[in-house]
Amino acid sequence: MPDPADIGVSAELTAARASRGLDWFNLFVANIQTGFGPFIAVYLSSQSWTQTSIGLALSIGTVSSMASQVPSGALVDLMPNKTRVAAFSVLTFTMSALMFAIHPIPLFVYLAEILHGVSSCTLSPAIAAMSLVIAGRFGMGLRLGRNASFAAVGNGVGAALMGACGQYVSERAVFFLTAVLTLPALFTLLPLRRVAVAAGELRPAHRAPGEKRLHYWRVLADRRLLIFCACAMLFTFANAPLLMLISGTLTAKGSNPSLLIAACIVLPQIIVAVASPSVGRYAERYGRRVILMVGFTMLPLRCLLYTQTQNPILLVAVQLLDGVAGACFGIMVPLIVSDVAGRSGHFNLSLGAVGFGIGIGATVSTPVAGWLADHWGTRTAFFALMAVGVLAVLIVLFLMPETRPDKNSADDDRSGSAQCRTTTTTSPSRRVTVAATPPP
Amino acid sequence: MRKEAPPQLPTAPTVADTPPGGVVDAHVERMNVAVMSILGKRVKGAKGEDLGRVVDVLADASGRVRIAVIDFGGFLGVGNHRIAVDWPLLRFNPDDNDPSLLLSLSPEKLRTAPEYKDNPRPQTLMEVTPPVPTAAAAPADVKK
Repeated sequence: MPDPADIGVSAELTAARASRGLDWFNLFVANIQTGFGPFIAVYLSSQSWTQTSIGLALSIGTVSSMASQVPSGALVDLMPNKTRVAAFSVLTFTMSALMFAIHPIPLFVYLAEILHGVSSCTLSPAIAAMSLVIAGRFGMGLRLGRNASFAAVGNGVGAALMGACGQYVSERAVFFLTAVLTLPALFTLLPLRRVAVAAGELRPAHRAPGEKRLHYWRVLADRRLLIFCACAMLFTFANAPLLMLISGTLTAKGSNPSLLIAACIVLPQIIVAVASPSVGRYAERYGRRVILMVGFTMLPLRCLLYTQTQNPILLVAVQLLDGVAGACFGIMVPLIVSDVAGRSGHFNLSLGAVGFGIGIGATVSTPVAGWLADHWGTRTAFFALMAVGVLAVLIVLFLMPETRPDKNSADDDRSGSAQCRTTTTTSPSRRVTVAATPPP
Repeated sequence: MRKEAPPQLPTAPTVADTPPGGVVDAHVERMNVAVMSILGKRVKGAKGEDLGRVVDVLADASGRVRIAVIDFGGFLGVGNHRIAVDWPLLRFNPDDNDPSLLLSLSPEKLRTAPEYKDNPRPQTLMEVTPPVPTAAAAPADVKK
């Protein structure tokens, strides 16, 4: 176990530089991920791919990312250097972007989908783990607020940049641009390479062989984690198809559907960029449940408002609420998981589990909502999604406990969750949590 | 935008009588007309505006192509709209250096058309005026 003093010694300047590096890394990663979104379907269509093969390619991507969520979380837990994991994931993005751009034959496209799916699953835990190392458990809210803020700027700028690129240059150019954007992302990791070596507390404690599997299950069976997983899944289930449902109205009623849909994507990102730092602060001050409630309430509200108007401008305006929800949800996912599992050594495994729940919600909901809209009308689909959204709010209200760690009793021993007892040492610049040996 | 002499396929493409063995004798010959790839082609409007892209081509029981599925709108692949367009509404220029498809419809017509659903008899965007009788009208079973 590395001496915690090593980290404490690292100069204030290095920490600040690492922190800024992480800011920009979040921005560029969000930039890159925009290229791998649903745009792939557009690109492959332009390459004379049939709808069936495109569907297959996208499904391969979904399945490989779903399947690797939890295992790659566990894998990242075992890696001592999260910066290296992040760099490796980004390099994999470079490779898959180039495979798409240079030679989109089925073999390469399927392979690129798999590579991207898997490395997305190692990248987001790596970012969360670097944040945890840099900010410490008690600065996590603020740090994640910054992450979300920079990522939102990256998303917005990336969408605008790639939208313009696809429109005015070519579909293929979007993937070259994506590949190029991985370079600055790697560059921003340079100041992080020394700082973000996980302190002992983030690695799974040493265990006797045979005990391992049980331990994983015990981490994943944490009541708070499971409740949060359920909330996150329901929220994503209700959230994911909304844009698809309003896009029909936007296309029919608006004069420039592409611009309106672009506004629906970019506008919420502006809200997320502006609101995230405050959301992170409020989460530390008022607790996680309040923020989660506020964020989750936006969703049924949006559904309700969508049933009330067909005016494209108003529909776009309602998307602003999505920004509020996005800021709250985006920060609460890694924050609550760090509260629950930050000291267990299974932070990334737990994050993977929540990611899996979110993935299930997103994958299942679009066909379900599409079916509802086809058979019962869009209004009914909105009401159904609203009901799911309300259910998520109710679960937070009645079942979800507050997870904010108590600064005064840092070695609190919450029911069943704290697998390792920990003590906390506080250094002037930031707090470093040090794991003590787990109870036998 | 009147149709100029519709590219007619007077009858369904004749399929060679299947010989008893189930195998048709074939030989290689240069195609006697210029042809072009359809899937993934951009569709241009009367004023050269971008009307989307052909993502699927649907044929009827006789093997005749009847519908082009056109994908348009959306942003970065989000919120795309898909509609079925009656095949005779499309114009082809395979001899051009940059072959493209022409569709003489206003963008408004496309935007308000119902979304294409995968079903054997999809809602399809068709010309309002019936084809001029002289110009070898479409078979009677076309109109719903």
